Amino acid sequence: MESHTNSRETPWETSLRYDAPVIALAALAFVGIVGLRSLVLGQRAVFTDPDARLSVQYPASWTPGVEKGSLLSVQDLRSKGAFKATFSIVVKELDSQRPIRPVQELVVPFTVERGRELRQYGVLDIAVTQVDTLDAARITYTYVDYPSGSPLQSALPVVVKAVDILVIHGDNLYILSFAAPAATFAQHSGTLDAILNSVDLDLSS
Amino acid sequence: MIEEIRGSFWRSGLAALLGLVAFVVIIRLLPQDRLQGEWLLAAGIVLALVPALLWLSFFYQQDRREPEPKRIVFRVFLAAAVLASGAGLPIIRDLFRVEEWATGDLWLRLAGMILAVGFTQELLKYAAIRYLVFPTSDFRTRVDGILYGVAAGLGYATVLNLEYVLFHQGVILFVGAIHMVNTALAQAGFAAVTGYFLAGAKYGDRPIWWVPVGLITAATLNGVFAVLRQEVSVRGLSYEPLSALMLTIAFVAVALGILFAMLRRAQWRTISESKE
Repeated sequence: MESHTNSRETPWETSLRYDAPVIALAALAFVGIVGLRSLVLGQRAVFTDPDARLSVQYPASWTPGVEKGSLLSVQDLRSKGAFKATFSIVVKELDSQRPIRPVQELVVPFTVERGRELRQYGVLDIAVTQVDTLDAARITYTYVDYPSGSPLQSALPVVVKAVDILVIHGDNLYILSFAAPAATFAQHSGTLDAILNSVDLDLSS
Repeated sequence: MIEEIRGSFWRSGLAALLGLVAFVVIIRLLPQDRLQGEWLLAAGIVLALVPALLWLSFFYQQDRREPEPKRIVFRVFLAAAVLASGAGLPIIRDLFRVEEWATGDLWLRLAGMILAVGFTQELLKYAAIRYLVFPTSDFRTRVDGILYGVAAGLGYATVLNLEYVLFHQGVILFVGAIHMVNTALAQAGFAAVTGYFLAGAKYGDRPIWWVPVGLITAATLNGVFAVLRQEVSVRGLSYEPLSALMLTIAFVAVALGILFAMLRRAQWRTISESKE
């Protein structure tokens, strides 16, 4: 049997000798984790389209998405579940023969169109907002997505919560869309805000 | 006496290895697609417990000279399991969200796995030993440190394996068996390092950074092994159990070699000190 060389220590001294260095190590590791995580998740990629006179920043870890006809489509492949958080920008030319209308007037026809495209489409909220000092409409809605093409297994339908931001700039209507599974949408709200705050429209002309 | 101890290391070590190999082979021979639903889940849960039982019996063989009270060993096992379930899994999955950021680049994964997974798991195993058995008279020798470390590691591994089974709602038996042996072996090995350093701190004249060095070593091994296992066994979207098995065997050899050396050294010291 071995003898304990520190048998005369008080509990406090024992705790100080064994626990204090470990607590310090745990604190260092925690700082390292938080720092590394912030560094990785805080990295941004910049998308710029001079023709569309727009630039926007999104998380650097996001990869190109699959939305056809979009100016930009990116998705977060790291997010869990069959439906990945996505962000896209679609630009539509407005009829130049007609006078420019307030963006709010485009909301109803836009939601009707969305309703034809998406299953179980339902609007949750319509609000006024701003994108780079321009007035915009913010439409929050849900729909049901049926992921397909999964190589591992057939996936269950996903209830998706999404936000469309409509903003008119020049002769174009910009549709900024962010979507994520409804169950995890709240976790992405910081990312959504960061993306929207980074939108830079060329207002010089 | 020493020769007797040394002989028992190799015999019981070989027995444990053969036991693990036999476990995997038996599972391989079983019909893989007969079980479904709840039966598959139940089989997976049983599989999750087997490596822990095998390893605990192995380390009882190692510590025959001063066998520890089974109740205390089981308490440490249980405490580590509770800490894994109540703190380890939620912290890594929900607080640190490792899967969201420690991906892609190899060095990033390595850093993430060591810092977030390695340190969390090893600190919790350390806590199970430190606060349950370390201050008591049941923590008597350096060998005890390794034994209680293994018990803590196996407790943690059992929860990881149960979570693996429950998350997948049952597992393919052969793949599951390899995964579980791998996890049990690795977790036990990492915690044994911590236990060894803790015992050294209690019975040797060690500086205050001795235990943190043990934890850093265990956490680093943990993180490196996690990345290595992923690198070796995952190819695109497929999982290759045989590659994982080869890695397991290689790791078994290295881990057992280190553990044997640590045990031998500890027992040599114990004997030489008792003579003085």
